[in-house]
Amino acid sequence: MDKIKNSSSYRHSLFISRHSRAGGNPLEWSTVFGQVTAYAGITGFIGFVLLLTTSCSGPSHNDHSPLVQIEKHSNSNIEYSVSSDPFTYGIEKVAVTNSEKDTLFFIPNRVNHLVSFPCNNCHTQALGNMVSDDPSGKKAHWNIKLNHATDEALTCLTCHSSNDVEYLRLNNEKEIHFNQSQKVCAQCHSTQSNDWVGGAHGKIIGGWAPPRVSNTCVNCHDPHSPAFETRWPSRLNTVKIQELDPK
Amino acid sequence: MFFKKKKNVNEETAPQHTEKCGGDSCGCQQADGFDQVIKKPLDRRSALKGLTAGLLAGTGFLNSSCSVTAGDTDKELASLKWDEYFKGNYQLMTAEEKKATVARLEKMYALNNGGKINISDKGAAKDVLYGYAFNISKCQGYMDCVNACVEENNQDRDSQMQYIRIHEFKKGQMNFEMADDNFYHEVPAAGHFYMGTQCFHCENPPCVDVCPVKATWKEKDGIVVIDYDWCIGCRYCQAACPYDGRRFNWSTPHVPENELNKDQHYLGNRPRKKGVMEKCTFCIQRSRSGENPACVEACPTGARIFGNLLDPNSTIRWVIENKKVFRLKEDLGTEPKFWYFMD
Ligand code: SF4
Ligand code: SF4
Repeated sequence: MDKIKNSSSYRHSLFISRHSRAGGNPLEWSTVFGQVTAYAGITGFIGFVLLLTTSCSGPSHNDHSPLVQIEKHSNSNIEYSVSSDPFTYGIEKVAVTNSEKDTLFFIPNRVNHLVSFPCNNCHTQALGNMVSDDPSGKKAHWNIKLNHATDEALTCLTCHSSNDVEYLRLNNEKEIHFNQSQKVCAQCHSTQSNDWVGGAHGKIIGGWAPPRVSNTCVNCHDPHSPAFETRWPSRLNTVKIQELDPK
Repeated sequence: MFFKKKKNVNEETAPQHTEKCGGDSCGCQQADGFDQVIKKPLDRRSALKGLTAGLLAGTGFLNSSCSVTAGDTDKELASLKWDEYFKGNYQLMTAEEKKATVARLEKMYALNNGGKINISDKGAAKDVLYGYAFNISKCQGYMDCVNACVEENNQDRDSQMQYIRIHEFKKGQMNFEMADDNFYHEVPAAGHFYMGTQCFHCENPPCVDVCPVKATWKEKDGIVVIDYDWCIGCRYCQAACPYDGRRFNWSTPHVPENELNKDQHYLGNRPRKKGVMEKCTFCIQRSRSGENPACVEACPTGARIFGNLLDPNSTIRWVIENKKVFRLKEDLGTEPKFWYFMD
């Protein structure tokens, strides 16, 4: 909340205090309070007179801002009577933890949905030994086309471990389980990763109520070709349908 | 102002309510809101309208309920209709009255259509204030949200009613006058961006202030709702909303039986009728159970974020506190609970 308050500029607060209906904005009594005292005073006086003439028990105008509601009524120990569990029923969850190993939220189990996992059903060798420069050689996973960054930046072995096909790989050669693939992505996409952990990027599945279950990177982005394609909208706007099909 | 007026309504009606018909025991026609309507001077609906409609309806109900030729089903329907006609404003109903009207509506649906619907009257939870955030960088104009909303909320198929509008802007400006709401090409189109609007559930909603019959109000959890059975269809609220948030039923809404969403809420997606207002309710039938609204669930890009503003651990709070957000027409003081942001 401090961020919201501090982001107010002088011009902005003036603008808001000139509009009496916006009296509920917390900017008015925020850190720039001193600069708008005169305006606030006048608004306050008018508000007082209005209050006297129209109502004896009306709520203060400040109550009309969600930011004030947040300030006044925030509660970090809400006892929820609802839960997202019924809506994520059947999804096997994996915890996402911070560096202190506290669980932040959950993501769907990944390996359950990988069609050819575990890889050693087919492969007995380490990936590093299978790589070949021979263009006439047989191509496994021919359907996978790497369309992610450039050849110079990424090869298979940038993300897949060269020692053990069952694992992914971090830049420091640490091996990472497929269920923690977001750690591989976060190495380059740190901004997106921060937004994802916070909740601004990506998608919460099930419900808004705790426990939070979010899609992980690869649930929406194909790691081999992560960009979204263009496509037709799934429906047309009302007016368009009438134009196209006038009855 | 609104609160003051509302208080007056309560003062006038509440005592009547308690001393007269409290339940079935007192032997009047039907406890549910009967007194609110009958014992009150016709100041809420115009006297003329009330009289004519009442007479017409009364004759109709009586005709079928006393007729010897009408079947049992017809008689039951007529009596249910009678009780429904004289029920009160949802805001003034007691818990039992809410249950009673919900039961009647379910019964009427069963008699008319042979199927079963569930209408919830679940109230607002403590410590919850719903808020919504929309990522303009992410929206691609796919319209999946609109589809999901129409299906979830039983919107009229014939008039193509949609609560959500997706606007396509040419990059370099965000002028709603210049936006294309009827785009007809693959999306996202090069050089364009997309932005969705719907009811913003203002904390200070002008639509609520203007309603002459208090058919629309803000619930404790911040959802702005409409009592479809109390709305007189004057459309004042539609004119008062600065965000094009409200929709009007010009004709009787029609949803094919097999497409009807049968999980309903009294203040949400239950079938509406001709001549009443409706709009986004943050999918009240879903959100009050902890679920995400249909648009949030349907969006394949994650551009839509919904949650509890009073919970410092919620994602909506993280967005508001960590991203650079804005709301539309903030200077009006409507205080929408719908924020836009960019990556
Ligand atoms: S957006 Fe419009 S309809 Fe929704 S609460 Fe605000 S004024 Fe009312
Ligand atoms: S149309 Fe709007 S203002 Fe008029 S009665 Fe219905 S809810 Fe109230």
